[in-house]
Amino acid sequence: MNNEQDDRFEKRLRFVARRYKEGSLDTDKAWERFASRQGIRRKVSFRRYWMAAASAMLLLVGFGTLYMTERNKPEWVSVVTAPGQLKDVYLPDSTLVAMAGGSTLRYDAKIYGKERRVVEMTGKAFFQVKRNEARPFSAHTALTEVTVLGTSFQVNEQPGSTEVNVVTGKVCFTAGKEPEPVILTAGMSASYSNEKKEIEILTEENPNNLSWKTKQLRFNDTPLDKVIEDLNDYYHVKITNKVDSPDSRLTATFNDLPLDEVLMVINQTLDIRLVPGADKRK
Amino acid sequence: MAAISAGEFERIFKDLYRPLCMFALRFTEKTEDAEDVVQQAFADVWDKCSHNVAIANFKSYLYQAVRNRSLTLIAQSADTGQTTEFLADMEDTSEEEQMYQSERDARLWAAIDELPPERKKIFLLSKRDGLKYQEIAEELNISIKTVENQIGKALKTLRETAVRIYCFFFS
Repeated sequence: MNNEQDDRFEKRLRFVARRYKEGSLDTDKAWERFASRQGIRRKVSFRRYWMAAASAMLLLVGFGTLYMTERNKPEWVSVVTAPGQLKDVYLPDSTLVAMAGGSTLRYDAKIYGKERRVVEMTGKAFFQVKRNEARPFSAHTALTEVTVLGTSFQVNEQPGSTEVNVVTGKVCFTAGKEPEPVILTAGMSASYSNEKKEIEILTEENPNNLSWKTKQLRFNDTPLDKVIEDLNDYYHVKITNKVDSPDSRLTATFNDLPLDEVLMVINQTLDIRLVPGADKRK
Repeated sequence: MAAISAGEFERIFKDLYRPLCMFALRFTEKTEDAEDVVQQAFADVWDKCSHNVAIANFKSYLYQAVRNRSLTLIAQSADTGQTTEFLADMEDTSEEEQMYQSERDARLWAAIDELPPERKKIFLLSKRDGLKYQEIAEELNISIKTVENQIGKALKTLRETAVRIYCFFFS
């Protein structure tokens, strides 16, 4: 730098330094001020808008996916009864489920009643289904599926077999790999077991199917073996007959009586000796 | 808007804003006034563009507009004593030379902007506020040696910037 330039430099430096003010003459700020006053939307900001829009979109998709998976995630409602405990459960559509002891029932609260009404169960339960033809009701057990529109029926699920008893209306019973459903009407019963691998219609109606619920045992000219079976079921015991009496038949009705009273009545009536033992199923 | 796109206008604005401010500062003392004048000049040009008024040379037009507005501004204010000195100084240089000079000034401004904070402070106390080294040393509670040292470094940086500018402009 020669002297002349040096002089000029000194002069310019003085000029600039004298007027220098911290933070002044900020080109970007000045443009922002100008643009906002003139209502100019910058090209750069367009790109930013796009970026922002794209990120917002991505976020939306992300949350959407999360929401969808969250929404499709089942929200199980489960009811479990202890052995011997009876419980009435009302489902969201006011369908009544009377659960016998040692049973479970569960349904997905999120989808129950949306298109169908589906419950899963084990053990024994009596259903009084609220009629809704648009949304069929199904009760699933490990082996079978009972579908109805609106009726009352009982499902008795035991390891290896499931029995359905229809009280009113009509049900559609499918089981295992059976392609053909069986239609059951009021008073009919059917069962499916792992051994038979087919649906078997039970012709003989057992009036004591629902005795666990009605608290009433009814026998009408019933063979003694069947009486013992029903008593075992109802009282959860194992009754043995100490006297040999093959042709004995009983006609009687018991309204929630203690077991020893029931046995006393039967023993005196038929002149036999039934003795309760521990229920081996427990 | 038809004459020029917003993006193009922004580029011109950003290129010319500081030099134009430096140019305005030849007339006005305050940076605020200078910035206002330049903003108004740009607003005027933008308005003309919006109404499809063709402007042959933006740069020349803007410098002219800034000069006129600045002169109007100082004519309105009573205190014109100091600016005449610069006006006189400018009379013999060409319009083109004035533009170059303003651009160089803008670069010097930027160079001062980029000085380390402490060095910048000392430099400005000396060159802007006219304090003696002794006074700066007392003010900042540092040794005169440090003041000399810092100002020396600042000048060196600025001189190097100037050399780059001069080489650029005169090569």
